[in-house]
Amino acid sequence: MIVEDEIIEAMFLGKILELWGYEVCEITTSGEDAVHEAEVERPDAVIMDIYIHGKISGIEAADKIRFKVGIPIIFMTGYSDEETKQKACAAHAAGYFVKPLNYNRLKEALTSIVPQDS
Amino acid sequence: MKDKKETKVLLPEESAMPHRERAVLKGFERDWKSAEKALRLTRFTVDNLSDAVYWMDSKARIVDVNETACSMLGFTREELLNLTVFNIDPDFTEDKWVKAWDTLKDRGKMTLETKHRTKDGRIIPVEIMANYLSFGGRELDCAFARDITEHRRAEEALQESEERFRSLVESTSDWVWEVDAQGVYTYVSPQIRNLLGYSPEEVIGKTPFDLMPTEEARRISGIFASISANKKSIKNLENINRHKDGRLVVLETSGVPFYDSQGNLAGYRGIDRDITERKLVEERLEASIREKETLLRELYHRTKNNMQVISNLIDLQVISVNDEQTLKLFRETQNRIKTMALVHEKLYQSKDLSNLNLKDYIGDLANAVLGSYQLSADRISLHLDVESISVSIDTATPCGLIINELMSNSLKHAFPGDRRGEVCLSIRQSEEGGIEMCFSDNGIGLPKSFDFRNARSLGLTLVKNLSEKQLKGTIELRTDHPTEFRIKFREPLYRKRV
Repeated sequence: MIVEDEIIEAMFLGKILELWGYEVCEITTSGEDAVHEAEVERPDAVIMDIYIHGKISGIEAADKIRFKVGIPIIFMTGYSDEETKQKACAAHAAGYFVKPLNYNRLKEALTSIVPQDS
Repeated sequence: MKDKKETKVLLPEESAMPHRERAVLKGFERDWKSAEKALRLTRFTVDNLSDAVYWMDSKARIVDVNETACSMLGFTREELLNLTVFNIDPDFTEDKWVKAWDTLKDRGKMTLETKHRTKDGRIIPVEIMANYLSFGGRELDCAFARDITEHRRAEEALQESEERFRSLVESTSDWVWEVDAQGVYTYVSPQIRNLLGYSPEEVIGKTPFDLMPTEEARRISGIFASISANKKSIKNLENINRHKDGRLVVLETSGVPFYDSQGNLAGYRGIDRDITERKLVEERLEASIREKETLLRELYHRTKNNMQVISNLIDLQVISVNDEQTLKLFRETQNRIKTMALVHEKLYQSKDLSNLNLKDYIGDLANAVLGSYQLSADRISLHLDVESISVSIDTATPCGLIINELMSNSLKHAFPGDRRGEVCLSIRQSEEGGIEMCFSDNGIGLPKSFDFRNARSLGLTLVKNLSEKQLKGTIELRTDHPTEFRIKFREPLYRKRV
């Protein structure tokens, strides 16, 4: 599942994931929708932007998802400041990537969580 | 009057008296009765005075009292006539009495404040008006005692209120003042020392304008003349004053008019607050905001220019491309880049740098898209009905991209060959505060079974995702003639990040 409020970026990332052999079950743009969809869809992993639409941030949404359904979260953000990084680490992220994304490293992180043959 | 028995004059047998003596005696009896009536009336009046009356001799013995004295102290008349001044006045000693008696005898009258003690021990503050009189060989002090409990209470309340006012005035950091109708200071609180370095005495008698630089004095006196002519209040009037040490101090003045008993303007009372620091902070903030605005405008400008450069690079690339399909892809990409570049152009032209007017933006965009397909105006006409709606960049960009895709689709597919027609675009604000975009064309139309939700083209996928996921709105397609897309959404969608 992809959580990203720039829908064109999300669509592009979705295409890349499909090329890698993954199925993108949902693209959402807000934290609240992300929590809801994670409960409904139960994806193997969530790739989450930190600053997104809605009342809760990506980090808050990730906390709720981890608490409710225990799905691993990979964060991506356009903000490379130390505070954002620390918040992401505190949220027990399975990965943390600053945009523009390094797709090779994203693929490695994703493969370690969700092997492609799963 | 307690003694109601008439005094009977004992006369010899009238019949035994000569006629002339009898007449004299009758006259004497009439005079006696008349004097007795006058005496009763006087006594009644004295007994019913609101003041207590005491007659005392030189030894401070009470020799007579009126009814009010009895009721004020709670003694009977008989009890009081057995007491002295020292019994009813705890402050009077014999020495004091002797001195007071001598003074009274000397002056004839005197007024003093003292205390009286009632029979049940209560203390009453009294004002005494003592009168010396010598009567029938006796020296007396005829004293009128007035209960001043209420008067004293009112005085104490007034004093307390004045004290409270004074401590407030003197403890506040603001300078409290009063000017007369000519604008001359008649009261200046001590805080003026902290604000302008002067003592209150140095400022009383001056006008506020005497404390200002010449130009400022001229400006403020004009404003004050207008305010006082209309008897209006002074509200947060900023003015520049010169401190005793020469530096400039910005004060904020507020005040209200007050009037004399005839209703004429008697002056103004108010406060001045030192806002020099606040003004400096405000100026620094304004400078900082101006600097940020300049930077933001420059950023939008450069973003737009960079997008223009990308578009130009595509133009250069296109020169060496011959394949029609590839050329089409480049042109579509170029239009998408221009759509976003135009948002930044409109933003750096906007006043507040965070919102732009959809009417300006969509008008320019629609004409640019139409121009990019090199279709003559007499073949395809464009009808725009876009309201002036202010939206943020986060709404404008997806709106622009949606319009670009819908128009491009129409221009590419709806008018094959030399078919003529029109495309219509309206954007309106709904009564509920939402925004409704409606795009239609009268081209060949879509098949009735066309399911745009499962369309594979990038253009329609973008339209669907931008409408539903980015704008959090709804999208409807009508395939009956004309083909019409209706998109509804609300703004703002989320917290601002600019």
